[in-house]
Amino acid sequence: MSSARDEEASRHEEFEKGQVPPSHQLGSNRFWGMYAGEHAAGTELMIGPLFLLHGVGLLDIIYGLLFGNFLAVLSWRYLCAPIATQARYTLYRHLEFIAGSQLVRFYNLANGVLFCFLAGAMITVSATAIGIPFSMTMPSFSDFYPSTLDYVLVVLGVGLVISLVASFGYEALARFANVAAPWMVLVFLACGIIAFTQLGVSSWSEMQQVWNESILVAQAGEQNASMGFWTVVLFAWFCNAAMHIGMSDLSVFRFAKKPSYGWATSAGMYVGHYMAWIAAALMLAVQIKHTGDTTPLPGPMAERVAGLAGIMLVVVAGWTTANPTIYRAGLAFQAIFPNSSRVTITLVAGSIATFAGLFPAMAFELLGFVGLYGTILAPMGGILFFDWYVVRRSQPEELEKRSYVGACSPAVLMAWFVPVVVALYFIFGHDVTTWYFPLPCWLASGLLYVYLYSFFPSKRVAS
Amino acid sequence: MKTRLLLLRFFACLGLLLTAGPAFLYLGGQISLEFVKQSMLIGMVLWFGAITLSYYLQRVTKKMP
Repeated sequence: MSSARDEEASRHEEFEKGQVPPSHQLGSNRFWGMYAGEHAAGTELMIGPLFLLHGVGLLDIIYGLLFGNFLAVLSWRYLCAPIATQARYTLYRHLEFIAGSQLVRFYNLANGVLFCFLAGAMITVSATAIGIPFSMTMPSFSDFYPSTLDYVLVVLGVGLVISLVASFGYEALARFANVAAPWMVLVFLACGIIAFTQLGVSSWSEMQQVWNESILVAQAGEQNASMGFWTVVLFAWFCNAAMHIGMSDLSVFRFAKKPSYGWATSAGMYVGHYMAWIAAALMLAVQIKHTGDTTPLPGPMAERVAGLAGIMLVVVAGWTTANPTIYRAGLAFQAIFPNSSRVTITLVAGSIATFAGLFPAMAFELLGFVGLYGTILAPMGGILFFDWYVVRRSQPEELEKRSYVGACSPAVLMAWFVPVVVALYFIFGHDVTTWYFPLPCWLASGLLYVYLYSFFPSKRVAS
Repeated sequence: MKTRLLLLRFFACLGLLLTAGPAFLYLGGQISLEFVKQSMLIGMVLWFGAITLSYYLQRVTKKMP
């Protein structure tokens, strides 16, 4: 996901507790390059094909992604970047002022666990490519549990290597991820073009016909679209909800000279979340056309269109996503156990991710998972947003002057928990799609926070 | 030193060109899929090789007195 930003952090001072001074602010080119590379990752190889399996129409994908990604860019530009360039704190430091140190630790725990599951999905993705030379029996789309011993062994091997690298050689891998980013973008593009050519279509109507036939095969003769235009829009908008409306990227944009650098996220959205998703979906369509196999396994799909370079794409994309994710999960856990060594805690995070990777369903249910990820984490961004504009009146000095002195602010705790618990009830109790919830939860948390804050500001804040 | 770096950058760019370029020719029906796959492989080796060497060269030069 974001190896570039971590290299950026290692190259420059971190300013974890303080504001980024003008001397350390960066130009716009860094942000354009970073976002373009960061969003051409292993997850893209899973998400595109899942659209096809959910029976989404081709036009709904093309226009839905165009619009949804634009909304995501606007969220970065107008919600996240302005606060980042005024306050210039990391998300965690900013939250400490508002929520209290213990609540931030709890937020870290939630973040760390969700990171581990995301990394687990990437380990599965990598295993589907590593397993090809070993003639590994691939999991099928309906598998929840690991079905064969060779799959388990490959996942354990991949997970072990990724965890060790994340623990000991992380910086070298961050540099490698930066180098790999332009190559990965071009391989995605090439795979998309090759797959399109292999579909053998010469007109738009033929393309739609082939697409619809692929859906028919994937859905065993039926054509039930569980996602339409608006769900694609919502998914594209909120698959990175934790980053933009959830304000996680405050940590990135605090280095930006101007809030207009938020437009740089369009490079990531339209390269990774548009071109790469459509390319990956076309790769599955080719697989279905040639073999009738509807299992969205990135390794075999990429090998079919690009040979060894395709396998390398899956491995590199999966590893460069999983490694920083495990590393960040380790950092999040370390905030909870500050006396433990970073190597040990990263290995623990890697073990959890590897265990999650054993379950193929983690990767096959990625669409729902990223929605859940946004639903749980994004509301904290809503609280921060409303606090910044309503309580602090956009004054950075107000954060330190009136920071929360206790361990856990009840206003923030309730404002975060209540909407999230309601959302989780609908998601797990009534099977409602996860992508519907990040925005309502974000708004509800923000408004609830402002309401609750009015009850105890004088008692709960220090001047 | 500058010439070597320039040469390495040329090979890196050539690597990227070989990675994505042949796909367009395949789209036009001018080359076979096998050729595209081989070209992408060579492009990958060129890109990573040239970039790694250029990093190494820059590091060695910085260490020189």
